[in-house]
Formats: sequence, C-alpha cells, structure tokens
Amino acid sequence: MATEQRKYSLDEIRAYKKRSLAAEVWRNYKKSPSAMVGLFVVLLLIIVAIIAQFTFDYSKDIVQQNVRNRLQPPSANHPFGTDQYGRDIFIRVLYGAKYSLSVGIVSVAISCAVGSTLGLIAGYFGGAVENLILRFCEIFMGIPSVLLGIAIMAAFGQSLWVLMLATGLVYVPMFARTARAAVLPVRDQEYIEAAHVCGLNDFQIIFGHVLPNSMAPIIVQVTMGVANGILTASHLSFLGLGVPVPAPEWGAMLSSGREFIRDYPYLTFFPGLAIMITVLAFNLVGDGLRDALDPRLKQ
Amino acid sequence: MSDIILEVDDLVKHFKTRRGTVRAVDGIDFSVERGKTLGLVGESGCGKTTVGRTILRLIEPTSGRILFEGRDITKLHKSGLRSYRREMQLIFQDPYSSLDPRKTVSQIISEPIIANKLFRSKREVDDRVAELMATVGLAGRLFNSYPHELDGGRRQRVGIARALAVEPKFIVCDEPVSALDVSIQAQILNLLKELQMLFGLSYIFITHDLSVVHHISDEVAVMYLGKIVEKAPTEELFENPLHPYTKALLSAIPIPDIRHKRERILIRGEVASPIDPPPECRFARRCDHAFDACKEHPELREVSPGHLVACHLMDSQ
Repeated sequence: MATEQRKYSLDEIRAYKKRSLAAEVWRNYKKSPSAMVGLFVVLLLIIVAIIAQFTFDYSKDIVQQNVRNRLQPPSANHPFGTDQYGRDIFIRVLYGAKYSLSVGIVSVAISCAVGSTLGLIAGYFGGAVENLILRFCEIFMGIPSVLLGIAIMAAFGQSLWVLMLATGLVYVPMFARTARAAVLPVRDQEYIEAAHVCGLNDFQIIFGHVLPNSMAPIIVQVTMGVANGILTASHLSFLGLGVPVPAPEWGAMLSSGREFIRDYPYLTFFPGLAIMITVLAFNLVGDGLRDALDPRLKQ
Repeated sequence: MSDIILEVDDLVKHFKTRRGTVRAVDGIDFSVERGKTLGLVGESGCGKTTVGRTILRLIEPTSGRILFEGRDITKLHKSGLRSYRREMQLIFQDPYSSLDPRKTVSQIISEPIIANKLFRSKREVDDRVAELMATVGLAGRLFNSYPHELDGGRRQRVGIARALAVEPKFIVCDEPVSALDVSIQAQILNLLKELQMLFGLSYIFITHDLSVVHHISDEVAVMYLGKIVEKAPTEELFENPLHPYTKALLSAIPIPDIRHKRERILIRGEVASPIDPPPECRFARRCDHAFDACKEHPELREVSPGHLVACHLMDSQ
C-alpha cells in the first residue's frame, strides 16, 4: 500500500459522496423477493386503511344493519358475503385494517420505547440495575399476556387507546430482554472502550455506539411485535375486551362470526385471513430487515 | 535529570474471582521519559495489557500510584479524567473490533474532536479530519468509507488518527501490529516512529513480539506473571540479557540464516496460574537455575546503570 501524505481539501473530499445507511439498507433489502412482497402488502394495507377511512361512511356502510341481506354467501355484490346483520364483510374487513394497523403500530411504539430503553440500560450498566430490570421483566412475563391485557382493560375501561396501551405494556418485557441480549456482545467490543478513551459520556456511548450496533434484533422484534400486537389485540377483541362492539375490528368480527362457523364459515374466514396476511407480511418485512441491516453482508 | 512524563509506582491490579484472587499485575514500577518508547514484553496472560488499561484508567488499579506529569491520576474524578484522556490515548490491538462498524472513517476520527469540543463547526471538524488522515497516510477518498471496506493496515491507521485527534502527549500502543500482516507491520511501526518524532510523543509499546520491540523501543521491560523481571535499554537487553526468562525469550527469536546454529533455551512446563501464587520467585518452577534462595521473591535491583533484574542469581555472582 502506498502511503499518501497529501492532505485532501474539503472540496475534494466532498466529491466522494457518503452513501447513507438507509440507502445501503434499502439496496440490500431489495434483493430479497419475499421481503419485497411483505413490504408491498404492508404498504397496500396502509393505503387501504387510509382510503377506506374516507370512502366509506361509518354509520351507513359499516354498522348499519340490513336484515333482509343477512348471511348472504360471497357474490359479485358482496365479495366476502354478508354477516348476520346483513353488513358487507368485504367493506368491514377493509375498514377494519385501520384498527389492526394502528393498534399494532402504536402498541409496538410503546413497548419498543419503554422496553428497549430498559434493556439498553440493563445490558450496558450490568450489575444491580440489570438484575432489578430483568427480575421485573420476569415477573411481568410470568403473567399470561392475555390475562395481563384483560387486567389492564378492566382497570382503564374499554377503548381503542386502552387497547393500544394494554397490548403495548404486555410486550415491554420482550423488548427489554431482546435489547439486553443484543447489547451484551456489543458492550465488550473494543470500540466501546475506544469511545471511553475518546471522552464520550455514557449517554453518548449508549445512543451513539451501543444502540446502532444492537439495532438489528430490535428492529426485527419491532416488525414481529406489530404482528404480535395485532394478534393480541384480536385476542382481546375476540374476548369482547377490545374495541367496542359494532366497530369492525378483525378480532371482534371473528368473535361475532363464531356462532355461525358451521354453516357460514366465510364470516370468520375472511377476517381471519386478513389477520393472517397482515401478520405474515410484517414477519416477512422483519426477516428482510434483519438481513439488510447486517453491515457484514454489504458488498 | 531526564524528563519523566509517566511514572508508575507499585501498581497492583488484582481481580477477585470465585477461584481466588488473580494477581494480574502485582506491584510493578517503571517510568517513561518524554519522547521515548518503553516496550512492555511478555507472553499472553502476563498482565501487560492490564497495565496499559490501568494507566488509562479503563481498569481501576487495586493500589499504587500513576503519576502523569507529576499528577496522580488514580485519584482523578470524571472531569479530571476527561481532560487527562486528552493527553493520553490508546491504540488498540485489533483494528477490526476497535472501530465501530456503523460509522464512517470520518465519523470515527471526528468523534474525539467533537466529544472534547476542539472544533465546533462542521467545516473545521472535517478539515481537521482531512489533516489527520493525511498525517497517518490515509487517502482522502476513504473519508466516507466504512471500516469493513478497508484492509487491516488502513483500519489501524484510522485507529491511530483517532488517537492523534486530541493531540495527546502519550499513547499506549496495545499490540498495535500483532493482528497485521508482516509487510504491513513494518509500515505501521515506521508510521508510529515518524509520528513520535513529529509530535514528540511518548509511547508504551505493549507486545509479545521481540523483533517489533527491538525495532521501536528505547527501553524494554520484560514481564512475567504480573511482575517485571528485567528492565534495560533496548540494546543492552538484547546484547546482555541477565534474567533466565529473558534469555530464553531472546533465544526464541528466529534468525534468517540457514547456517546459524543456535542454542535454543527451552522453558520447561507451563505458565503457573496467576491465581494466588506462592510467595516464591514466579519463574522458579520453570527455571533451570533455581536454587534455595528462589523460595523468596527477588526484588528488582540495578546491576549496571539502567539495567534492572529481579533474580537471585545476580546476588550470587
């Protein structure tokens, strides 16, 4: 290697443009077809949720009963058929995307923010702090998630926001443990020691070095968490504890269609399919992101 | 008198483990003159890396004093430690794990500049980084590269540039070349020497490679199981090793001459455990010359000007 001793001017350096991390990740992400399918479905769901919000009238299209039309099989007029009150299941499933997506995303935002911070602190500082946080998490994890959700719903009442909070709190320990496990190998790397020598404080080290390097499992957990959140919210709604009844939440639709499952399976089939596709799509995105985020795979 | 920049006085570092106390560093003294290099040699596990880390206060010493320009740095608290680390830096052994894989070369080098608020505007910081890159011989086009795109030698240059960023007076080099190819080792060693002349740096050079230490050090201290067994100016040590351990080490240096018939001194056995060692000479059980006196630990004594040895054989002669 020839040693260059010449100092480059700033303009010369600017010529070598920095490729941003996001662009790099996107380049890798694109390579995986399944991840792209997942992303496409997720984006489609978001668009559908937004459009459905404006094109359908809640009181007229979504909840108004039309008993003469009840329990119609799928047809051109009603692609997914109608339920026991004569409401179009197709429209209700489309409209319901908004509940599932918002519950999934907001609840994960809550559990990720709280859980990852706890996990980072536990992993970075170790010792008594770590012990305290981990034991706390174990106590929480000892309670079945649906039971915990029910307890929170019972305490705060039944609404969309409480559903988000309940689902979010249920997954805090999972995020804390994931984050801590991701921090452990990073904490002992020499570049953390180097950062100490450079004069960085703990806060700068945690958010400047530890977090970016332990991000991959957390991001994967986020996308999987959205899927889990949607499932848990559906569980709670299925039990009648989620979004109040006439709203077309997928879990609630499953619940109300349950009585008719023998003769009119499409009442439960389509909301169930919607949940499955959404969960699968988020999981595919999570898998793709995990691979794309590993800097060692870059070429 | 010579100008001493760093003085280490009876430094001790014990690690408490379930199986007993590991005496990683067990009472060592040395000093480094301004602008000079002290080579710290020893095999794996002898405590040389612990010494380097302790001097930087990355590890808290169990006892002893570390005087940097007359100040005892073992008593420094947060803010004092921060300003101390502007004068004392560390170059790491492994250029693969010592650079954050998610940061570009310029981000890595600018980190100490920003953390210590040496320059404030983006332009000034970038300019300083470009200057540092030129100083260590990194092409400017690598400014926005990621570490995994560089080879070992270039990575180590990034590590050196980062250490130089705060204009330190003293650098602890912890085996900076042992992870590199031999051809690149020489480049990095020469760079370190150049920088020493250019900036008047003082080094502690930790290594297990005797030919490297010969090349770069002014003075050499040989460590064995947490103790310094011999310390002398480089030429003196290589020509006239006195401690049996040093002799054995030196006899192991390969000499590229096919007709050279050398007497290789083989050391018996294995390194004893540093966990609760008996109070005898640490090397006694492996030493061919061990005798009764070796039941007691020998003190480091000056046998000729600047040449210190910790061995009872010196008394009997």
